[in-house]
Amino acid sequence: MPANPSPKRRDFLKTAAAGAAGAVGLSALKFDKLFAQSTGGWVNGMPINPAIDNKRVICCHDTKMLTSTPANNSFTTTNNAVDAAVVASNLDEMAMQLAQKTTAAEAWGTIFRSSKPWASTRVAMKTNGIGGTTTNRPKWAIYKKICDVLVGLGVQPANIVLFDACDDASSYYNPYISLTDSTKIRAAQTSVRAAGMGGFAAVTLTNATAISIAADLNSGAIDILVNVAACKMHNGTGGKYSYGSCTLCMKNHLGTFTDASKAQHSDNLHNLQALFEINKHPAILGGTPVRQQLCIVDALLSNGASGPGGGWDNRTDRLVMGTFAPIVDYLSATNILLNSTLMASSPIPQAGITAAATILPQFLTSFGYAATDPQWIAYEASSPLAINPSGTGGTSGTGGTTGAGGTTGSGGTTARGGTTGSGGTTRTGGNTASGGRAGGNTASGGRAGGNTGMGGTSANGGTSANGGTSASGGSSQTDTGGTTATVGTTSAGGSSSTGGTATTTPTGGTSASTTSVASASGGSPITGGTNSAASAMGGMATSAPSASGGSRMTSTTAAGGGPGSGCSVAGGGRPATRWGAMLALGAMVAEKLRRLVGNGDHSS
Amino acid sequence: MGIGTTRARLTVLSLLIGFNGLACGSSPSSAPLTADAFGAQYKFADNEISGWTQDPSDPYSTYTGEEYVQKVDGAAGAYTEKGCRVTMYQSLVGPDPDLCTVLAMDFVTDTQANTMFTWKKQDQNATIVIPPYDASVAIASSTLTGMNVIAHFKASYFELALSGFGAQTGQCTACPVAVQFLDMLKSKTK
Repeated sequence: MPANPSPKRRDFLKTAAAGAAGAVGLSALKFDKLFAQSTGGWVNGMPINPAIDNKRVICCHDTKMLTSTPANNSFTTTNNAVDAAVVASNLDEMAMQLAQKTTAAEAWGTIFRSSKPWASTRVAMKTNGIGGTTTNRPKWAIYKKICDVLVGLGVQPANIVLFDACDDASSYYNPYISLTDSTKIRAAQTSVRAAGMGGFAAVTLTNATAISIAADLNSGAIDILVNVAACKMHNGTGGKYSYGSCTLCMKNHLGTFTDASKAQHSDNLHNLQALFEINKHPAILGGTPVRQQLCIVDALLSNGASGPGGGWDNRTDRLVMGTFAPIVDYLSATNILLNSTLMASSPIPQAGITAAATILPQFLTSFGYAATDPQWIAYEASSPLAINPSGTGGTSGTGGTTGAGGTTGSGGTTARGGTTGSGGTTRTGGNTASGGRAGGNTASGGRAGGNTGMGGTSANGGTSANGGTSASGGSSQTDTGGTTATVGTTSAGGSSSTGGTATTTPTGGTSASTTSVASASGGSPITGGTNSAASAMGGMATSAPSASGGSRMTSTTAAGGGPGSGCSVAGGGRPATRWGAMLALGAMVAEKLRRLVGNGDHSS
Repeated sequence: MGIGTTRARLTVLSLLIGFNGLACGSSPSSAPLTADAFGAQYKFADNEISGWTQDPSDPYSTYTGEEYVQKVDGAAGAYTEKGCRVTMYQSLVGPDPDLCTVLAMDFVTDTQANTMFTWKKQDQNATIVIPPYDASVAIASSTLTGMNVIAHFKASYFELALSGFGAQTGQCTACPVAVQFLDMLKSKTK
């Protein structure tokens, strides 16, 4: 079995550094620092997984996951109604959608990472033991699938454990667990509270006193944490709905952390700030790679009026998956629990809806995100969304899973523009655009692409991004690529790409001259027109094939600005940072220098 | 009359008070019952309602005050902050696939029990009337498999979660069973 796949990140960084950093004199070491994952808990902007945007959340709807509506609320009846094979298949597809990989194996290999060999990697899976047999809790089929994936990677079943350190969940799950029976959850017996997790360890929190935690999470002995939560309303202390009216992945960790003095209590943690604090804690988001790598909300059946200890009262037929719990929760609550159509049989009480309006946004702001950041990617199981093959940002304009904006050329050799990627005709490039982002919010390369800029909210590859329909450079482009680069509707400063038939004259770019560009989405070579567009970055270019990512101008290079800048550096969905901006700017400067000294061939 | 006799009378008096407390359970004037005694007052024996027996996979349990947190975590606050002193939890299995979980809570005073009922009724937007009970005494809301019932008798407050009956959108198929449980709970409330 392969050991830790995390070196992929390093490979990516090497590529990025070679393509751009070298030109601007930044060392790879700095990039390592730039993208190093925290070992000390949450820091705003930190990527949980460098290859997956924190903000990306997948929701699959499939009525076939339940063979019928369970006749009653019992755990057994409910689980018997689940079609484990369909759930497994959907989880595979969701992983592919999340990681933007074309095979499930690739996707899971991107999601799960360990610094240890898989055979010695330890995994904890949070479940929920609250209430009685009729309480809604995560279905066994979800754990089975995740365990199958982990075992497939090389994790030993004995090194996987389900737990709830507050309420003992063993009586519910143990009948479904076996170390050897592949028809069951291949894991150790469910931890009786923290007994299977090294016991309890005291932790000091700012917002709660006398708190303990499962010791092996606190010490880092557990390498991977998978958080699976049932989709339930929570009426909060005193019925005040003070936790955003929901108990999902974040609230699930009241049970990873518990009161130290009283068994089966987490009273002291029942306040919103404590909820946020424990979800930033190193036990959850520390580690290299980050410990909590996957968050799943089991919304096959949901609790609307029934509280956290109650039975399910709605059939919602959905699974939700992401890497970052606050955004997974925010989107699950807003799109499922608070959706009166989905929850029609027993909706959340009005007081809960009212409270959620002010509390749920704090799920985002407390972690440095804005309401416009989360990306809810929902689909019907029967028609999953297209996944971009990697690397094609170029000609076909797809942006590619990895592609786009790449170091070299259109679409980029290496990828990363990826998931999001620039270049795509539309979404292909991805909604989010990594490359984009990277180039970033700030960066020049980045800015160049997309309406809002690569980097911008929608980024490369995004609907409107580079290569996108409306292309980079977007209308509001103001960035390095040229204050103006844009050309509006179509094409854009965008180098080239996009398509357009279009075009108005690029306003702005330094040399932006043109008109009538042909199209090319995805940064493919501009097919049309000799005059094709000016490029984004500064509107320099001209008639060159460009790449996705955008902007670019000269022939071979890619988008986002300078050769490989922006996009390539930025990569998949990584949040933009000032380093990214510097890098992209550096690349642009380097490019300009190259042109000044006659080194640049701007022809196609 | 000797001291021994006096002691004996006091002992008898104490026992009577204690017994009275046990009998009255939720009377505000009686000595408060322990959680176990309160639970015993309301616990359903097997087939006390024909066809309904204790769920072997979901143990009967009682809780004192905020210890109910052990059962429902943060949701306990909705009850304890309104005066819940002790709680009994029982899960019963009826004719397949029917299930009923019973929560009985001592709110010490009739007023507090009524306050709890009123809050919950409004919070859950409960509108299913369960004849012959008046909506001010017992009411329910539909779920996909049955209904959640809330009720109060004197200082005791109750919740029943009935599942196995299907959604109660048209005819209330769970109502007859709910009435059986409510009648029994009412009779157990002295």
